[in-house]
Amino acid sequence: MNRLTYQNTIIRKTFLALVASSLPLISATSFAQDTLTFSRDIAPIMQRACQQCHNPDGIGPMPLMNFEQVKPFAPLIRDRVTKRIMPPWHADPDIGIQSFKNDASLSNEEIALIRDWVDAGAPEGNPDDLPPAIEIAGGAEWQLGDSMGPPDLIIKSSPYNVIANGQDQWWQPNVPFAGMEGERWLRAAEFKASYPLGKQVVHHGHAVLIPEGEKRQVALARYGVGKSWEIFPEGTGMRVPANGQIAWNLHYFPRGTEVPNDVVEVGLWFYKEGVVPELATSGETMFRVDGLNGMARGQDIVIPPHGYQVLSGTHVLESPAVIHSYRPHLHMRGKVMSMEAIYPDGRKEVLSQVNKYNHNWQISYIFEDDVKPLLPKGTVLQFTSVFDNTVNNPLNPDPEQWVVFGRRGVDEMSHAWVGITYLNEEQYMQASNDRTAAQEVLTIGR
Amino acid sequence: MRVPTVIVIVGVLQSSLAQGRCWAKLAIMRRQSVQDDLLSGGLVALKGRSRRAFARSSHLGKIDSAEEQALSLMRITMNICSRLKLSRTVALVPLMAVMLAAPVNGQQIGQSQQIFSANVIKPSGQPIIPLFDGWFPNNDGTNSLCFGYFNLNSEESLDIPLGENNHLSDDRFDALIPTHFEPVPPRYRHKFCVFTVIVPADFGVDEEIIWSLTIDEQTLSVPGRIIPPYVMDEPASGGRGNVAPWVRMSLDGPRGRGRNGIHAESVLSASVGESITIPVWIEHPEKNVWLGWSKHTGPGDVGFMLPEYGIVINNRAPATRATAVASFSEPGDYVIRMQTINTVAAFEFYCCHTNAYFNVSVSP
Repeated sequence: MNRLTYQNTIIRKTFLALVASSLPLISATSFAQDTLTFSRDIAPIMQRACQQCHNPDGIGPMPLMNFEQVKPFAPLIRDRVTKRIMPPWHADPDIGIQSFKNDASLSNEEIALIRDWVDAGAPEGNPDDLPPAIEIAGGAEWQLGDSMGPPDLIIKSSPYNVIANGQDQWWQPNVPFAGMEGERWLRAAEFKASYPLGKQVVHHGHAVLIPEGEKRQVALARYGVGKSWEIFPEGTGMRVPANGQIAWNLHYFPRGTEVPNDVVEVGLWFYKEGVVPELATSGETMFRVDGLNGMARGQDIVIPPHGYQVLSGTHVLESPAVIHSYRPHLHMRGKVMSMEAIYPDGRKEVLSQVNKYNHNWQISYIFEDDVKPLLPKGTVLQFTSVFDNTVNNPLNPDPEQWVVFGRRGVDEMSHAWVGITYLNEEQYMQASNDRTAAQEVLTIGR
Repeated sequence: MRVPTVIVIVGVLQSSLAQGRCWAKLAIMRRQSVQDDLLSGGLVALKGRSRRAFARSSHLGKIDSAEEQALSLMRITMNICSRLKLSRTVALVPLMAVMLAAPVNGQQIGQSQQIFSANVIKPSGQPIIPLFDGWFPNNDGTNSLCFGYFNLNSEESLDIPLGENNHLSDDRFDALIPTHFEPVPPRYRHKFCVFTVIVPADFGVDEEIIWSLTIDEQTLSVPGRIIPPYVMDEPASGGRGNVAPWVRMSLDGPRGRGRNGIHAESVLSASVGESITIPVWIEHPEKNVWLGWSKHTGPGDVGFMLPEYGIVINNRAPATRATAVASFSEPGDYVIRMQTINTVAAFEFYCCHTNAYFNVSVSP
């Protein structure tokens, strides 16, 4: 071996030794950075998107508050999130407005994290990486309590004994409205089923004030599983007279357990006494898709066995309006409902489309303020529903039935609850100018 | 894995009966969905050759593009319309019926470009949909299957004699199947539970009784099953406080209520062209009650002076008397069906009404 060869050998061995000695360090560093862990990567997602329901007091079937609770369900969680079954969010991610105040969906990146974490064996990681625990309102507490404080007024339905098993039940008592000395303007409302049993059996409900001596109805609160509260935008409110009757309309689904003396509560938050908001709203308003054009409601719903039906309904806005939220309502065969605006100049725009409707969830899709549809007078709102009576609809109780209109979950209906505030021309112009100015600021900021 | 975006083609099949034309309208809308949801769709309500023809032609793999599928669908629907003289085919019934999937990267096409029919109800020429309204348990352990119907015609009534065109799949059970089908009522959706089939306690959840109606060689069927989602309150509903009215066929006769119905033991007599009065006595806790009278079976037409009306309950009397004045166009044996419920709106909550069946023998 000559000197050069020897030197090369020494260098080579030294290099290899260095490489070999550094391998564990590199490997450890790589593991620490690349291996997904519950504590560091998954827990923040669970906090944001899961724990509001999957907590000991929540409506989720099992709590997912810590690693020990999550680990056994990791494969199930992977399945549900990759299929976008959970968290429940049924708006099409590619069609219509995508900016919501209450978006519960996971991003593609979050779904990939969960998938890869489960595929890697769902490791816990270092508990020191866990984010601080979040505070969650208990099942019996007001969800708006943290942000709004206690309600200014609480109204209650009269008690009802929910049977353990049987047909859907509708409880429609009238209860005197009391507790206010004079007219007030509503800022927010929350519908609270009793806890824990009431939350399992109240499917949807309405609390509508029939004011004394007035013909109009004031819908104080409308509820569906997945939609329990409503906060009107700042400067927008609902005028609430002091006297009248609350017409309750509560739809119960018996779930195998008797619920005696169930009472539903609605919490009301008002603007300060004497404050009159700039815009008066009617809150969620029904836009029917079925039974238009003078026919009896639902006479146009006939869904064949193993088949589909498409329904379309249009409504012309008689004055300008701003839309705050969109909540489709169908039953078990419902699959899709879109809301489209056809502007007076002929332009068309799909505002929102729910393409994975699930009767067990009545989600209200609340638009962010800067994208809320601002519609001129004469705009046509077109709603289109698709019913799926095939075996591919997992909620379908019997695809061999003909399905027609009815109030039960096994029957069908089609309408949308749209949070809408009508404007006069001056208010519309002002809102349009504000929107344009905000967009210009945004553009300049870029 | 991300579900691929697909184009869904919604074929809308309509018929213009008045002009004898049949045409198909197609529309495309973009959805993100699962192909499986869509592939099993098709003209499932169509029968026999037409359905198979559609299934063959629409099979994915044979047709590559959404546009080709759309054109193929249009050809097929045109053909179907031509063959079936769609006036009696169920292809008219649903707005729609066809959904195909094409795995292409399509652009969004506004839904306003789609064309949808809102005219499910037409004056005449359409089929009758047999409906399974649900079931309820009886006190003796048996269960009742409830059947109604939806005549899609606003003016045309149809008579379908019992037999191969109007029958149950299982003749073990005695049932008073109607042979007369009235037009769709103007203020509500269909004829609710016009007859029941009482099945024994051991009738399983996997068993069924199918009611089939055939019109112009097109058969529409519906199965009755004892499955939990279709259970109905009977004879009262706790939530809305509804209760089926008590009915007597004579003031001192036995009373009954509910959808199984009370059946007259006697036979009323009438002559062709002469009016008779059919009395009934109603009891109900509410102030107002609705009554509707129909021909259930019989050879000729039956005219009612007032086919439906409301009455005010006289709570000071044991029962409130109401009557129907009926006349008959042909001799023979008839069954008249009376339905009563506290309000018409309560029908759509599926609780609770009473059926009453009267026998009338009409001489020439």
